[in-house]
Amino acid sequence: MGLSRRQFLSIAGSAAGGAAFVSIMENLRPLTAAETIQLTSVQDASVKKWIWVIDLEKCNGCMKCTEACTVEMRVPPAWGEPQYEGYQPWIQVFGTVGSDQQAVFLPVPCQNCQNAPCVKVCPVGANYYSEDGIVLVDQLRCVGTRICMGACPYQRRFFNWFDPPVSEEEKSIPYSPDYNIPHRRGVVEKCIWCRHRVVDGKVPACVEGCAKAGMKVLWFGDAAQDAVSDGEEVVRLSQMIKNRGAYRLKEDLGTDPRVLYLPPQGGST
Amino acid sequence: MQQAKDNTDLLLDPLTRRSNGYYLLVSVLLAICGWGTYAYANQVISGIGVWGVRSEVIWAVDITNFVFFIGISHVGALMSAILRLTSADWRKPITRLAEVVTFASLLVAVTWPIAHLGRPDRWINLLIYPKLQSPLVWDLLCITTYMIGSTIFLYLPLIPDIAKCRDRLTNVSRFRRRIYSVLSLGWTGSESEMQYLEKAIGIMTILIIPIAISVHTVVSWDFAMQLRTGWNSTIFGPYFVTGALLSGVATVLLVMAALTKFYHLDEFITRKHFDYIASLLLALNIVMIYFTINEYMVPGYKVLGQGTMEGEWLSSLLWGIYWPRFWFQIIAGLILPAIILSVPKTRTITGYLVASLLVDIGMWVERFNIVVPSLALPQLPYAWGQYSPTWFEISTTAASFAGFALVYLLFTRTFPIISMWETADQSDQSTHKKIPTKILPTRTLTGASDSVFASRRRFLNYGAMMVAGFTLGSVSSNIATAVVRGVKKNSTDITVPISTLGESVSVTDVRSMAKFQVEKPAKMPMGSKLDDVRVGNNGKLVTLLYVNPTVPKISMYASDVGFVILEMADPKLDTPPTYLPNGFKRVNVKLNSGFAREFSGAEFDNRDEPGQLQWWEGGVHFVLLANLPIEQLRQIAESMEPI
Repeated sequence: MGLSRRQFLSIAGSAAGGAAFVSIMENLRPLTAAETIQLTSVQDASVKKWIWVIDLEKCNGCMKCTEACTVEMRVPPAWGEPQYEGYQPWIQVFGTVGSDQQAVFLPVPCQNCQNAPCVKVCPVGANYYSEDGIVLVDQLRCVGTRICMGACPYQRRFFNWFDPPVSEEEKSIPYSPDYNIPHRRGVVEKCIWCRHRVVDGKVPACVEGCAKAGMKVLWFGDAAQDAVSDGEEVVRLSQMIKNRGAYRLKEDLGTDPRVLYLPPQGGST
Repeated sequence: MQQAKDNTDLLLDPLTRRSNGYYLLVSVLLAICGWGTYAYANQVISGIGVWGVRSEVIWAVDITNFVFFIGISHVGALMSAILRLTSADWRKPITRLAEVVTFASLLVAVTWPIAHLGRPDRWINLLIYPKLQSPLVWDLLCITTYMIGSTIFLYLPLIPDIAKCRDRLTNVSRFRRRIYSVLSLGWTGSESEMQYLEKAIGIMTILIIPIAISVHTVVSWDFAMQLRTGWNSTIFGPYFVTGALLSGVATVLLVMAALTKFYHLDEFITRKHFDYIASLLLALNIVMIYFTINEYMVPGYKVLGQGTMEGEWLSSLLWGIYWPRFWFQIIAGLILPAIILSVPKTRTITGYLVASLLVDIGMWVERFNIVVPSLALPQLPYAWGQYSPTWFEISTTAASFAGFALVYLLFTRTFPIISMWETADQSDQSTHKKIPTKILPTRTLTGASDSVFASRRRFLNYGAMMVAGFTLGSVSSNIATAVVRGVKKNSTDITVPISTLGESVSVTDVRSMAKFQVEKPAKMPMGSKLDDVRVGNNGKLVTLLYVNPTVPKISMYASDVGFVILEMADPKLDTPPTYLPNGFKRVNVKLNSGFAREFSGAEFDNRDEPGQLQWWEGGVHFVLLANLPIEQLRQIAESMEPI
């Protein structure tokens, strides 16, 4: 994969990165009871309300999620950006050393905001919500203004700066925004929560990769049914949130993300 | 009167004089433009990655240039409209000169939003699927309207002068004589014509000011509407408009100096004009300093030295990696010009030129400082984004400046750059003023001359045309939409007779290799021939490739493949999804659910999406790819039978 853990740690641990990370952690706040209820309440069970829970306590930065994603989605290369080696990190693991000299890792997939800035600013309407609330990109319509990349507060959008390599097998797959293969030049790419898998009742590839590595960090599920799974076992979402106190990234921006983070035990209340 | 005649000759002189220096200058400018075009062509072929922009710093020199050129275009509206409204008569010799700055810079500016697209071949999507919620669409609407409006505004006061060119310049090429005669609209210079013209200019004067202000406000909103540290500012609108006027006035000062030097216009553009424009520049400069203090001091007071994102951003500008650019913008671009323009000793033409040059460079850097540091600031805990321009961006930028100079030069060599009827014929001008403004009866005017402005009705006709032009600008998106949709629809009107005569080669091997029951069509377009059968993905994917000389090619396959049938037993794709992908409609094949899409036309990188029909039957996902109408795809699909 070319993703060396030591290398990524050394970059991420740099002064600027560390300071920004601490500031993000400081900005996090526990969800209110009303928000928890709203996130977990059963509404229309026929409409899926996908949700992601990421248990930071268990993450050791093995990056098996990124690897699984790169294989499953045939992720295009990142074209020599100094920050990224190899492929576009659709799910990216950030790391830093906390105040107690313990390493802290933060896997970040697309946050799937329900008030998504990227969807708002697109001039051609290529960014849209699927009926189950996943932000998708119609890459046949995208003109490549990249304004959505500027608007995304989580930096979870990537761009195909050149023609990505496409194998014969990929060419034979009919393109759909739900399974955006084959990849093409000059358009925006993003994590689409493996929509082609989740509509079939499977967890995204990275969740499976995480569970196979025995990590149990990533949990994916349907908030309408109050259940999340790591692909092997299923647990109640409300229980998981209540016992640990869940956070969302950059809550103050009002983007309403669908990814909940469970803090490491040392940092939680 | 004799004096006026001499002036006219003096002003028409640059239009006929052609020296070696002129040809050399045009060649050099053309060469730079050509080089930039070469760089751009390279970018189109290889991909926008040849620029230095990457995942974090997604915009850099491209958007900086766009904002800069849009900015200097504002001076036309300021000089002509605002100074006209305030009856500042000294502006008369420099009005047109400023309007041509607007015209040339707008022409250059609009190339950048198209050039910076990842898919310039798809720019038409901005007209087909405009989403009004996006600031970029506001840009599109405002700039189109501004371009049309400012061109009309430049053209109207030009009419009497073009008529003079038509009458006086009889020894120029036939092509130019024709241009003059068409563009002068049969102008004769009668008093009634003059009256209507002034009225039309008056209307445009009022219209152009809100349009101009909206343009740069909307450009600032491209940034301010995003959730970015450093762009999260409520004063961006007026801040950008002031910066635009400042850089525009500085550019006009530079142009004035160049014109007086090379075209010997000292008689018209005097020291007084330089002094007035310099004072205007100073005033705008001070307003800009005021805005800059607001923009950086308010967040600075609150967050400087804090570990927050805004604190990181501000310290990167003040003493971090961006300090040289930031302090250049503040000291060389704002404070130094203010000192030069206010100290009596340096209030000389040279001083003005130095100040203008500093202001222009400073404003370019200011735009760069707005675009790049905010983007480079990490949104999540990571290293800062990196950016350094490549030769592709530098060449295209150089071509922009050369293109601006070239358009300007050619304009001054074709049309008088100083309004002759407003300055040279001062005596005529005074007589016009004596005419009562009340519109004279139509009948009296019709007999007076056959000019287009001679009758009220004809004037109204032209007025209506102008209104139509404006409307056209605003609704151009809709018209283009209709046209493009029409064209697209026609491209699928290809019918190939379907018969059972398609030839086939032996496919017995497939039966043993595939993990499912493979089918092939019994009916297919006339002349089809099974060319290749491929089995992949451990026998879970079978591809049948048919060649057909009459069916439009599918560009993602080599040679003359006419249509392709994919059969997949891949668990990933073997059940129909519950949703309908974009652009597809539901089509049933043998009572099985499926969906289909029309051929959408070839795309720039030859990876187009061919017309396709997908359906699910007995756990197998079938995909038929062919650039044929949906009904024909369905006919082929219905005829599938086991091999």
